[in-house]
Amino acid sequence: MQRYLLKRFLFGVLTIFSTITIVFFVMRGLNPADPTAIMLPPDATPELQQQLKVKFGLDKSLFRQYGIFLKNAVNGDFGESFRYNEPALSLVTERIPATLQLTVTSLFCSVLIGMVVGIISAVKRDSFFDRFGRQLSLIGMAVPSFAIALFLILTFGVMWRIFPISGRGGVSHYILPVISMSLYGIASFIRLSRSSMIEVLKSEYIVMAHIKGVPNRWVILVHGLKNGCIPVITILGLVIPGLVMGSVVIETIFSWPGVGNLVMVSIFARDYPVVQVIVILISILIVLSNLLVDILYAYIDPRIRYQ
Amino acid sequence: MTESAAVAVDRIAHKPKNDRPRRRIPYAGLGFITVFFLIVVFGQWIAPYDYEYWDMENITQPPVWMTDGSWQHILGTDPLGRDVLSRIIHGARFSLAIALSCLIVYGTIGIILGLTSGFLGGTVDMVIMRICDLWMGLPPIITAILIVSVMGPSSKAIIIYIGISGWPGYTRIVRGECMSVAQNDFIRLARVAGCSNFRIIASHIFPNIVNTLTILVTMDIGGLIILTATLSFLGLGTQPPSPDWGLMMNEGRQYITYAWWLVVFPGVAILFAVLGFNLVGDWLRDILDPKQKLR
Amino acid sequence: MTHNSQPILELKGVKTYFSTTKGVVKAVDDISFSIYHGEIVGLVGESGCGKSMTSLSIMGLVPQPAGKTVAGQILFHGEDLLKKSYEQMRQIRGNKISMILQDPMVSLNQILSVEYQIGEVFRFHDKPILKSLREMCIQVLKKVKVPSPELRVRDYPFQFSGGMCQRTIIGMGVANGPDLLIADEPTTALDVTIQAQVLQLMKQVQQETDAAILMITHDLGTVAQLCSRVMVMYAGRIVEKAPVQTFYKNPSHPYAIGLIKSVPVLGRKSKRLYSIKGQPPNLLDPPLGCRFAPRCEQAMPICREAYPPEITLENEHQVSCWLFAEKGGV
Repeated sequence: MQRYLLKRFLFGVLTIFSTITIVFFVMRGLNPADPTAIMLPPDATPELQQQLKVKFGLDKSLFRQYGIFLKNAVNGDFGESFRYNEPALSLVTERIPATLQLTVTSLFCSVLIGMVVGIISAVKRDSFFDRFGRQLSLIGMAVPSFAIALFLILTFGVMWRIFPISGRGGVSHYILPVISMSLYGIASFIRLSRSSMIEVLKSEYIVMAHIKGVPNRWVILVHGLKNGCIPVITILGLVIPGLVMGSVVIETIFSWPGVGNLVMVSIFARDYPVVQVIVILISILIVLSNLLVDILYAYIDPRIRYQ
Repeated sequence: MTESAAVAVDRIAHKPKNDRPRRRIPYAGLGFITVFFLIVVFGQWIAPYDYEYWDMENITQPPVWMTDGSWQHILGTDPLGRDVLSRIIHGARFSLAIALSCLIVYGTIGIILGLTSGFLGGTVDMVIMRICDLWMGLPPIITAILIVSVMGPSSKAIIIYIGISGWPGYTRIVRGECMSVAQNDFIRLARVAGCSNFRIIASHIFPNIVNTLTILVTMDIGGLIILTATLSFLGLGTQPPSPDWGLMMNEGRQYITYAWWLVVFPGVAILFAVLGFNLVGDWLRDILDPKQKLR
Repeated sequence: MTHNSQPILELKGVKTYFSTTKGVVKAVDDISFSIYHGEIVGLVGESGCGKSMTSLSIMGLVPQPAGKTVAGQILFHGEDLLKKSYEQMRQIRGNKISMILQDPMVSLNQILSVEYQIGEVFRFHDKPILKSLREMCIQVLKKVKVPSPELRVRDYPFQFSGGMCQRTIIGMGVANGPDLLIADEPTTALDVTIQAQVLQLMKQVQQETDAAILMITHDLGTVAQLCSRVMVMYAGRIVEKAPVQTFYKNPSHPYAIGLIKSVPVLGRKSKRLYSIKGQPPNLLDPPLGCRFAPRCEQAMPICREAYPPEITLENEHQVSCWLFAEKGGV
C-alpha cells in the first residue's frame, strides 16, 4: 500500500505542477489584455506603461517570466499584487480562514446530515421519513446553490429580518451561507448513502450477523455502515472541487471576505501574482483531498491494501 | 439456486409499490420536461413579448396578483421594462441550446476517446487514461475563469469551458462500457469474419452502449443547466441582454428587496426544468439498466 | 428408534406468509415436525419449496415487513419462540440455536477481520472471556482445523478459501454450544472435494458438542451420509417423514419416489435420465388438495379436492398422501 500512496503523491505533485504551468502560460500568453492597461488611466503615456511593465517584470519573455516565478516561488516569494501593495501570498493567506470556515462546515454538514438521513431512510424504507427525505433531496439537487442563497436571503434577510445577509461576523452571519453551500451536498449524500445502504443491507453477511445474535443497531452501524460508506468516500473526492466553485459563488453573494471572493476580482483585474497563488493553493487543496480520500479508502477497505 | 432464500425473499418483501418500473413512470418529471420542450419549440409564438423588448411605460412592475400588477405582464417586469414571463420562456430555449452544445462537444470527444481507449487497449489506453487523470486534476473553477479571461465572457466561452473540462468523465465511463462489451464473443466472431476495427466499433459496440449513454445524457442535462446558470450568474457566461435564467437572477439581485419576482421566477424555472430531467433520468436508469449503479 | 426425551424443537402448524403486490405467497403452509436432542435431521426439497423460509421462521428472521409467521407454534425446549421479544430471540440466536448459510464467501463481511466476526458471537452473548477474545477466536479456528490459526485469525475473509470460510462459519455456529444447528445447504456452493471435508467436519463437530442438526439440502447423498431422519418438503408443506433407512428402502410419497428415482446411478444405463414431469406450483395460489397432484402419476380424484392428512405408516414413518388413507390411522 505504501507504494500505492507514494505513486498517488507523486502524481499529485505532477498535477499541481502542470496546473500551475498551464495557468501561467494561458493567463499571460493567451490574454489579449494587458494588466498594465487596466491599471493605468486611459491617457497614460506609453513610457509610463513601459515603466510599469518593467516594474512587474512583464517586459521579459514568457519563459523568462516563468523561470523567475519558479525561482522566487521556491523561496516563498510570490511577488506583489498588482492591485494592492501587498505581497500576494499574505493577501491570500489572510483570507483562507474565512473560506475554510464556510467550506469545512459545509462539508461536514453535507456528509453528516446526508449520511444520517440516508441511513435512517434506508433502514426505515418507505416510511414517512424516507419519502419526505427523498422528495427533499430531489429538490435539493435541482436547484443551484446561488438560487438557494438568493431564496434564503429573500425570506430570512428581507422578508423576515432574522439573519444578516452580508459580511462575516458572528454565528448569525454564518448560517445562511453555510446552508446555501451545503444543501446540494446534503441532498446528494442522502441519495447516495440511502441507495448504498439499501444495497448493503440486502447482503448475506447482514443476515449472518443477525443469525449470530448481533443486535440490530450494531448490524447496521458496523456491518452495514462500513460497507455502505465506500461509495460515499468515492464521491467525496468529487465533491471537494465542487466546494471550490461553491465558495466563489457564495462568498460573492454574501460578501464574505474569503479566497473565493478574491479569485473573481483578481482574474478580471489580471492580478497575476494573486491568481497564481490562489491557483497553487487550490491545486494543493484538491490534490491533498484526493490523497486523503485514497487513504480513507484504503483504511476502510482492506482489499485495497492487499493488492 | 445459488441465491439464498433470504436475498430472494428480500426482493419480494421490498418490491416497490408499483410492480414493474414501467408503472413507476415519473408523471411529474415527464410533465415538466414536456412543458419545457413545448416552450422550447413554440416559445417564439407563446411568449407575449420579445426578450429584449423594453416596455418603458411599465418598468419594475410586480406580477399580476399584486397591486400595480396587470395582465399585460403576468409575472412582472424588470427595471428596463422587459417582461419576465417572456424572458423565462426564451430562457428555456437558451438553456437547452447551451446544454446541448456542451453535450455535443464533450460527448463527442468523450465517446471517441473512450471507444478508442477501451477498444484498442494497451499503450493507447494508458496514455489516454493518464491524460484524463491529469485533466481531471485541473480545478474546474480556475479553468472556467481562465477561459473566460482569455475569450471574454460569453455563452460560447462557457460551452468551450464545459466541453473541454467535461470529457474525461465521459471517456472513463465509455471506456468501461466498451471494455465490458468487447469481452463478448460476438466481437471476436466479428473480427474473425474480417470486419475492420472501425466497423466493429460502429456497428457492434456502439449500439450496446447507447443505453448507458442515454442515461448519462439525460442525467447530465440537469447538471448542465445548473452549471451554465451558475456561470452566467457569476458573470462568466451569457451576457446581457440574453435571457439566461442565471443571468436574470444576477441582474435581479440588486433589486431583491423590493422586486423579488425578478429573482424568484427564474429560480423556480430552473428548479422545475432540472427536476424534470433528473426524475426522467432516474426512471430511464431504472428501466434501461437496473443492475448498474451510475453516479 | 424411539426418543425418550422431549423434543428440543417442535413446530406445530407453522405458517409463514408474505404479502406482495400480487397476493399472498404461502411460503410455509402448515408445517409440523420435531427434532430431538443430538440427532441430525434432513429437510429435503426443491428450491422454492420453503425449506429456507422454515429455517428463517425458526430463527425469527423472516424478512419484514412483507413476511410474517402468521400461525402455529415453534416450541424450543417447550417455549414458543414466536411469542418472544426481539431481545429474547437475540439471546437465543448464535447461542442456543445457530445457523449456517449456503455461500460462505458472502456470509462473511469481507472488510471486517475474521477475529472480529468470530468475536461477535462471544461479545454479544456475554460469554466470559477466559484469556482474551483473540485466544477464544483462535480456539474456534483450531477446532475446525483451519491451519495456522494464530496468523489466520487476523486475516480478512477475502484471504480465505471457500472451504476455510465455511469451516469458520461452522466454528462460529458451534462456539457457544448450541442445542440446535440449522445448516441451510452448507455445501451447495463448494467444490465436491471440499463438500466432503465440510460434511466430515459437521459430523465430527456434532459428535463433540452433541448438538442437533437440521440439515437443509436438495442433495439426497448428503442426507444418506449424515442424517438419521429425513423430511421431504414440497410447495410449503411436509409430505413425508421417515428414518433414513426406511426412507431409502421404502419411499412412499410419489414425490419422494420421484426424487430418489431422479438421482442417476453410476453404472446403470438408461436411455433417459428420469425427471419428475411438470413444475412446482405457484405459492401465490397453491392448488386445492394435494399440491403434488398435478404432477403425480397416481393421482386420484380426491387428491385434487382435499389435502391428505398425515398418515403414520410404521413407527416414525409418516406420509401425507391419499394413497395410504386406507392403511394406517391418522
